[in-house]
Amino acid sequence: MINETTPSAATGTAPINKLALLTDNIGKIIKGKHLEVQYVITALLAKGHILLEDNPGSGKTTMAKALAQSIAGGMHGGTHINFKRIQFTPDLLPMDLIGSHIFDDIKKDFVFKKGPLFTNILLADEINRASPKVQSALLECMAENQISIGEKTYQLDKLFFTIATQNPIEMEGTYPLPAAQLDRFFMKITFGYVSEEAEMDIYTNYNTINSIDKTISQVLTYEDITGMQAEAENVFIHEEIIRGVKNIVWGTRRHPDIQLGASTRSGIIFLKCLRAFALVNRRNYVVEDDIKHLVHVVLHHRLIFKNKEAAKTALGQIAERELDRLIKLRIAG
Amino acid sequence: MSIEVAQKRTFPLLLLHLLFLVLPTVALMYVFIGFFNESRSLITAGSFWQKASFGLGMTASYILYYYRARFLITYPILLIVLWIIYEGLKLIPGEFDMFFVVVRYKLFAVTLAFAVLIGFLLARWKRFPIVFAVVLLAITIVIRADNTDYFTTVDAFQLLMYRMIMPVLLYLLYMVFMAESLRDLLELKARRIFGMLGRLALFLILISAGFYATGEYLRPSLRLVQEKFGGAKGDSAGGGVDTNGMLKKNPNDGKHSMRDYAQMKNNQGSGGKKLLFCAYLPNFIGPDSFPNPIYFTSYHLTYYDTAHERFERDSLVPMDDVFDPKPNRIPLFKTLTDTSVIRKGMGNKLRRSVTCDIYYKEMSTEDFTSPSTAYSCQPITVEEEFRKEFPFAMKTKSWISELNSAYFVYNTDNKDIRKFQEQRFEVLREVKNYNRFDKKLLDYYTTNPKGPLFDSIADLAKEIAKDAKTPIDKIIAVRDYFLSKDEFGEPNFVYSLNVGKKDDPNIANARMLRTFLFKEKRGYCTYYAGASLFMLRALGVPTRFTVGFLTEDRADKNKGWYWFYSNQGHAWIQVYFPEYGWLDFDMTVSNTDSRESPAPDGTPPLQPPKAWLMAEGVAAADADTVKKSLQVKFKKGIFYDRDFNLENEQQFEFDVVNAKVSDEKGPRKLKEIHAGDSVMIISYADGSKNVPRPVREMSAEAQVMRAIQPVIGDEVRIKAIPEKKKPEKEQQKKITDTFSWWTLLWGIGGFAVLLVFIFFLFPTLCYLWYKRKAAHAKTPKDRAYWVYRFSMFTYNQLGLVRDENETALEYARDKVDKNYASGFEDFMRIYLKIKYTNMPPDTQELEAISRYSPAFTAKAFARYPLHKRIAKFLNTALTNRFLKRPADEKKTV
Repeated sequence: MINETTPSAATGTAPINKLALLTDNIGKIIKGKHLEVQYVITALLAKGHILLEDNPGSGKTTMAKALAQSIAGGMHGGTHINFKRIQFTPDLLPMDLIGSHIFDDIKKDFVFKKGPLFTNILLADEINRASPKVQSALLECMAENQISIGEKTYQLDKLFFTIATQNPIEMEGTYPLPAAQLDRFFMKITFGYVSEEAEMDIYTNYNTINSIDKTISQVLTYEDITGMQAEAENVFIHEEIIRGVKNIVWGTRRHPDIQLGASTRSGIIFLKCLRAFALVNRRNYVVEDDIKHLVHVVLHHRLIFKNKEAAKTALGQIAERELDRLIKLRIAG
Repeated sequence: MSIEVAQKRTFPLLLLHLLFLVLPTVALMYVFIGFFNESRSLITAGSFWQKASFGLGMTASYILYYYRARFLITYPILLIVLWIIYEGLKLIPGEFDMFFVVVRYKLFAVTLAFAVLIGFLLARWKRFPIVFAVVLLAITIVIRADNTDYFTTVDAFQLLMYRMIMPVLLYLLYMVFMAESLRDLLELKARRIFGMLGRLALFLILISAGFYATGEYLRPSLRLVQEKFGGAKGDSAGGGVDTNGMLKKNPNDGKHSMRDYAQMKNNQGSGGKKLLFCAYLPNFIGPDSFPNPIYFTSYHLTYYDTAHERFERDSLVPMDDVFDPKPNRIPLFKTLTDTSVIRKGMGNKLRRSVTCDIYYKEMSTEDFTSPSTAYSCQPITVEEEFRKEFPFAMKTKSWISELNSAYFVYNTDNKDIRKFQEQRFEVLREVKNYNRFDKKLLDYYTTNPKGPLFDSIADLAKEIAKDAKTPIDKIIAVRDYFLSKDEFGEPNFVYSLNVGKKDDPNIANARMLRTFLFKEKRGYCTYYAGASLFMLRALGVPTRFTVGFLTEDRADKNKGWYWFYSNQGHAWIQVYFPEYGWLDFDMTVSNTDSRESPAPDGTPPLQPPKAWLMAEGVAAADADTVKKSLQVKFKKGIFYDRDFNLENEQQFEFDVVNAKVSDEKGPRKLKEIHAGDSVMIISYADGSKNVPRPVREMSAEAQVMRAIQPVIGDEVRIKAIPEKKKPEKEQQKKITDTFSWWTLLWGIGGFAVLLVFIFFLFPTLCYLWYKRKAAHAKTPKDRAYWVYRFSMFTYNQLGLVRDENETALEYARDKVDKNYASGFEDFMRIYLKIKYTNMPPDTQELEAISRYSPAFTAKAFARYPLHKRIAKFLNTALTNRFLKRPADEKKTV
């Protein structure tokens, strides 16, 4: 990981300089997960969605809340950013998400009551505990950025970011997300346990962490984020990096141990994420390290492997080979 | 990350391995076993079976171990089984036959055990072929060094070069080129197979180009070698000998050779009176008996080639007892011995070893001739006075039968001689038949070609010898037939050189023999020999055609000395008698005109004095030009005819007032002898000198020690290079060959050293290359790249290896800067920016890059003392790791 975000850098005026404030802010709550925080922000800047998967109690929800808190809630001028959280349960219905028509006594008509989806940042907690019907309702919104009810189509806000969390699919009482739906998530990240020191830190400062509302204040505005999203699209990406991405995508299709390789869409998503990640690292160009850091979180959940061993090694082999090429590559000029 | 993957084993892959790995190895071993057998005559038993068992054993073991059989279990089992069978065989009763079976089995078992071991190593050890080839080369050279005899009889250069060294080198190249890629071939994909075939084709092209280029480049020197070695080409492989070629052999000293003296047809002409050589052959039958001149044999012809109508010696000759060295190529006083000739002569009864001195005059020193079955040859010096007439001399040893006197073989009416012969015929009458004689040999030596002529000769022979029972009687019958007289008392057969047509070959062919036997009855030696050969073979008597010299006793003045003129070239037959061996029989009738005519001739007034002491050693000091003396330290030499080898090195003073000093190039002055020069000093047993007489009962060493100093030296020969420390054998090797083996060894050694050097220098070379690239890059982007590669290389070489899953930036941060704090990470950031953007670097960045390289080098190096730095830069493995590409995606298991 490229650690370029030092607190001193946060004094700049450009939105990109405020990223440091954002990461610092989340860092107050989420200890020792610098890279994961960056991933989440990358997904946000790439206009994508992110899926956090880990055992219960590893800080998924806290993470989402901290992010939401940092950019929503307060009124620092500009547009207000909404944050909603839905706890998914098996008996949840699609209308609980998107809203429903309610009879209005006064108007003598059914009026549409907007559900929690009409927001900017959505925390979909334990997404795999809901029934597939609900899951697909959510995923449609994520993909289309709009909701269709009857003959009316409601447009969601152009800043719509979903942080879904899920428990590992092996656990009981879950409805695993099908591959097609997983594909809609730009990234799937795993938290894992924090380091021993970080754990100690968490215990010591539990009170601060627990009171997120007090600890975290809004640091970014709606305009900051849309501005950065636009900036991310302008990050320079070298032809050789694009070729690297192509090679990796093709590598997954050729690899004897991968049953289903990466799609072209996943390649496009990969490039978007690379740009955003470069920006998160305060660069306006993509380097080979970005590929290394993103290849697993962006591609791994889209692939179907022939066996467990391959799931652990195959993608790594492909990426290593390509990175080695890039590392030794001489770009003339 | 990647998991080491076990090699996939499939049958098609195995087939490929067998074809491209095992087959070449078997082929090499085929050549090698043949070579080994030839040079070690002890184990010639069944070289075919050795080769076959080796090939099969190796193939089987390769397959076995290819499928991962456990070596530590299977191999001991094999050894135990072989040993049990061996012990079992020993228990079976049976005498001689059983002994042979056991010996053969032993040979087979050893071969098999080796074959299995080699198969295992080939299957499991990637680099084995290289090691194997090197070991074979070493063995070849050892065999060569060990076996000078063998390699002087046949042509050393050609033999080793073409028989062993070239194949091994080819094998080595092939394996280096092919084996690796073959082993890396895991799946039978068409692309990979085509790649491999392409590689093979490239190899063949390269090799042929290499051969062609070497051939072109070496052509002049090759021609030289050809001229020098050309004569022996035929026998080197033990193959068929073109007798015509032999007769026409062109000696390089301009002397008469077989071509001249074998002109038996014209040997009475004016040109026939040249003295070719003279020989001293002491009477070995007894002092009071007849003098016993023996015919001097040059070579044998063993079968009649109907295709070319001539007598030949073919490659199938069983028990070929020909000893045919080139005397002029043996170093002075070195003895070339081939005792296998005695064994192959198959006759020990009434035989003994006889020494004969031969002084060459007009005969080519390339040619060897000696009485009966020669087995040893030693060039000796000729005393100065005599050297003008006899430039070369040698001492030969022959395994001679007492029955083999010239008087015994003369085909003559002389009553005394007939009586002498009768005594010996009586002895030979004990041989009744050839029933106990080896069937194969008998067949070979009694087979006549098919055809009406040979049938009629056979009929004639049977008619002549109808009463003869024993082989000797059959021979006598044939002889008597040639001596028979008609009703007028005139001989039926007469000696005549004026027969046949002008362009008839020397040695009578079948057509000429027909004319001779059935029409004209006139001819010379080859007619009689050829005709009697066919007749005796038809009678079932093993016979061969022999070419050499007729020995005439003119030794009235000097007993034991014989003179050989060019008209004494002769042909006769040899007949085999079990236990007695091959005996000479001359069927040629007396030349009534000229038998007595050659007058005793230019007899030398005195016998050439013989060397009584030859000492080979090192000059202890520069020659004393005032006192004319020379101090020589020596250990070995010859005392009269006996070799001596002193226990300790002795220093003798030699009086060299009259000594002739010379080296290989020509005469030298006494003062040119310096301390440390290798010298050979010779003293002749001149009557005027006080030299010790040889005492038979005393050891030669003791007698040498008794010699009175200063010893008068007559000749001093300086060896070309002072060779103080080299063992005697190596010296011999050096002198033996015109082709210097040391040059070759040095060449190979030098090449190996160069390879090792390059191997260890490789990191440094890479370092310098990167450095140079970095210094000479033109654009900033290039410059940044090369500085980057240079730095990466250097850190790698200093022991910081980048993990496979580490990016360059991470490497810089986590490894380099942690260890050296050289700011490599900052450099890397700038580099990556330059690399992945199209923005030109700003001046600050440019400065940082150009500043970086020398600065970091100093920092990184400063941490190590010089010897550690050197050690690190010798580590080629690290460089290898740096340069290697990641492996192909292997299938995980």
